[in-house]
Amino acid sequence: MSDEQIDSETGFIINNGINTNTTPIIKVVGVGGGGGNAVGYMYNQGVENVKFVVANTDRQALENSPVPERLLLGHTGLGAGNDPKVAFEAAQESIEQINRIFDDTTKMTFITAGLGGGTGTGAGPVVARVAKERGVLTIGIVTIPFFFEGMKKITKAFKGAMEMRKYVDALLLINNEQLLKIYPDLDLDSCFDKADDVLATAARSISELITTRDARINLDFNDVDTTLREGGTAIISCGYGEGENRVEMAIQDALNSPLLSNRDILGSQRLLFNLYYSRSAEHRFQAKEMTAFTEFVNHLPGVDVIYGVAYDESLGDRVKVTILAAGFEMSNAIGTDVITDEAYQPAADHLPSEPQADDPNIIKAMAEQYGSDRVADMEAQKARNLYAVLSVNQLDDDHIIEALEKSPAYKRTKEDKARIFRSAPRTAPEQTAAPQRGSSTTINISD
Amino acid sequence: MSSRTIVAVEIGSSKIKAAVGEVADNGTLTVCHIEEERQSPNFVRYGMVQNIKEVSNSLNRIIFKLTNRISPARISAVYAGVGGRSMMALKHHVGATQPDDTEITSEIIGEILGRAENIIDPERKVVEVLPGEFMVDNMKVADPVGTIGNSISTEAMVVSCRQQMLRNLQLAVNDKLNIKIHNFVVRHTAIAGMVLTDDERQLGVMLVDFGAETTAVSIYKDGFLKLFVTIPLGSRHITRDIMSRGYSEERADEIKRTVGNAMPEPAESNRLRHEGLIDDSEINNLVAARAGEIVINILERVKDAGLRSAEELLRGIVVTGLGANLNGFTTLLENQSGVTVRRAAMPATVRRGNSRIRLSSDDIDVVALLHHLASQPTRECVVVPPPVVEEPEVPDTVAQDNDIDSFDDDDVEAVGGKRRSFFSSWKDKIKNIIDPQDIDTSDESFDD
Repeated sequence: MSDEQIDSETGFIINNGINTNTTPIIKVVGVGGGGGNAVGYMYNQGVENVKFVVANTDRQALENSPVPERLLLGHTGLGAGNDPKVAFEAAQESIEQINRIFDDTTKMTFITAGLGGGTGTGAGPVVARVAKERGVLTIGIVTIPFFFEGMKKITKAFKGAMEMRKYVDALLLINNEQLLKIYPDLDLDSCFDKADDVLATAARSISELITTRDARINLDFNDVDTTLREGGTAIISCGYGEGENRVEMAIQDALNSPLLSNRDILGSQRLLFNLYYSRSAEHRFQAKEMTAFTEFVNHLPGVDVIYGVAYDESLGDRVKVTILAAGFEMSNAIGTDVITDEAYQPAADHLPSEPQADDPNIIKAMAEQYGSDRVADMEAQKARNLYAVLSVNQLDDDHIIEALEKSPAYKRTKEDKARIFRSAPRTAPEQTAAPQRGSSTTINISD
Repeated sequence: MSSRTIVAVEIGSSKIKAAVGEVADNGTLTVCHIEEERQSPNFVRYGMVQNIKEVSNSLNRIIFKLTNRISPARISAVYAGVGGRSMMALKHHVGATQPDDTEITSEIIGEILGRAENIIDPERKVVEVLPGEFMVDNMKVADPVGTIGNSISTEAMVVSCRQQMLRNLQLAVNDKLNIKIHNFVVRHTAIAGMVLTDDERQLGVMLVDFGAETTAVSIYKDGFLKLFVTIPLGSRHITRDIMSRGYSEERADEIKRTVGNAMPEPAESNRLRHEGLIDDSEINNLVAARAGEIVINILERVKDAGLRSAEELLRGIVVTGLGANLNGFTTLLENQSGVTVRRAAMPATVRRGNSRIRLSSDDIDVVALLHHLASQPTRECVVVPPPVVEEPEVPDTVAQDNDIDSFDDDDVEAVGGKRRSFFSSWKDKIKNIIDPQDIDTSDESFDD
């Protein structure tokens, strides 16, 4: 790290050893711990024609990142303490430096963040907002927590996702819980890698798509832009297939993505796919194999399709399919409202508000992501913790009775519960409950 | 044979009811008439009469209907069921010492239990005293009457409530309608007396009366009442919660009764929404949460009663009250307690005066009052205007009795068969009224 220095003016940590001859138009920005890790993973894998930046409020995390271009958000370098508000303020403070990330030839950016903590949740939306304001095609790739991480974190994550959704063209949502479902037999490390793979695959697929020159039907950045611009919830995925029905297999492989948790691709309005095969394959790619796409598209009524065919001689007998789909109608809550340019209001002073679990959109989104049964169970458990359980002495207490009547048990907050029991007057009738054993009367009959 | 006519009124948070019963000499109860009126929510709050004028108007209409049925007799006095917030049993140790070799009599027991009435807070009024297990010379004795010993004591359960609860009832019934309240009967212990078996009380049972605004809970174990409290939560809390989503009271109540469920299936809620039965899939979350809160408050009493867990209730839980009609409620209670839950049933020993009377489980409360009174020395509640002219012939009266079904078959037979004068049967009733065993002998109950 000796040749690295933090530029005092810009906050960037510059590594002069990195230099690329091409002028990449894709930039991947990892915000916060989770986003930074994903970008680091991808950087280590080496994806061509993509530039990387990590941004964090935590100086130590930045220093540990393999990614050369780094941006410290805020001035403390101590992290956001799990508080999105702190991260938001830090990002606002560094808004100039964030702007400079997009000062180059970047036309498309992936803003990636793990949601549910501090920096990614609070600063991710700010970075997205800046990118979007610069006219960059902005794709958010975010992870939401495992179910066991609890309602509070999940709520915070969804709040962040909704905030993020306002500023990105398309949002790719990776539900960590879905990873367990799709890859139950993987070891945990590989399972986490799969989440990072989603980002790598998405960035690589797009990079590949727009840089490939060896194509029969060529796709370019404008096709990607058309598909994803104001695309709402989206998926970008890639799959491989081999043997008989290899195209269908590749499509299924692409769709077997953590991005499609409890959803299917049926609701998408815009679809782009790119088919790759090898001209030197033993089994030459046959025209009739294209019918697999016919089948696939037939399931998507009213969808706009853009497609391409390209050659990849490394595939052998395999085929590869890249799928971009956007404009999911049924992706409730997060991404329902596709924000048009007119409606788009950059809200620089807007603070992400406190997570409120009673937001019906969040509940809906949770039910969609984690299953309504489990969310209902968790809601019920939460409600149980907030039940007012009266002691015998409180059963005839005017204040408690009145407060209890006005406070439905559903979605009661801790504050509501405290209010029920607060300043409960201890008046005479209540105290009569006390002498359960104390008093006794003995009379003497014989007198 | 002779019989007593008793009238019980039951003023609850959702309904006012009154019932006329005949008690035969052998104690058999025949329920002759029941009338009821639904209550507007604010007239009775948490079991306590709030609007004296409205409650007395309502009761007046009910009494009028009953009077029509028992004409020419009219109702001069009633027994009033009481229950609601503040009603609870407190343990109180009472005892007496006496010279050696004194036989313990029921009078002695009555005396020591009577003492328990005076120890309570001046704001409260004792309505009933129930004995606990007796100790005679430090030995547990199941039935102390007839045993010999010089000390006797028991942990009496003193059932009391705020004075105001009884005072308001007096104002609504006695002051407004000029109908005397002979005595107050604790609704909950009366229900327990009717629907629980000795076996259940011995092995452990919880009785839950899930009412409109309060839920009364008692626990019996080893044959004795261990706990009785009134939780200020009821079915109407659920209605109010639904109203908080912007529904009228009427609609909220309807939703609660028809689609409300204490244990909703998410799929079910969605289906109901699709069918347009509810337009708010959160309704059942509201219902379930409040029902859950009520259940947890009910089961909290297990600890209060000194039991380790609900499993000590070997005969489980018996539920009654309109609130218990909520879909999924008994299942929820069963799941949370881990013991069996059954609905209280009307015992077969209660006879119907005529086929028009339907004795549904909804009437358990008011019938339980009559049932309790039937086992007690009670005073006459109706007066029949004495004939103006000495009228030895009785066929008219017989005809009338038959018409109005006011007396049970035995009585009609007696009148028809032996041609007893109306007055002679009336005399029996007077005898009954002035029975020295009466709880309160100071009043003239038929002077007006």
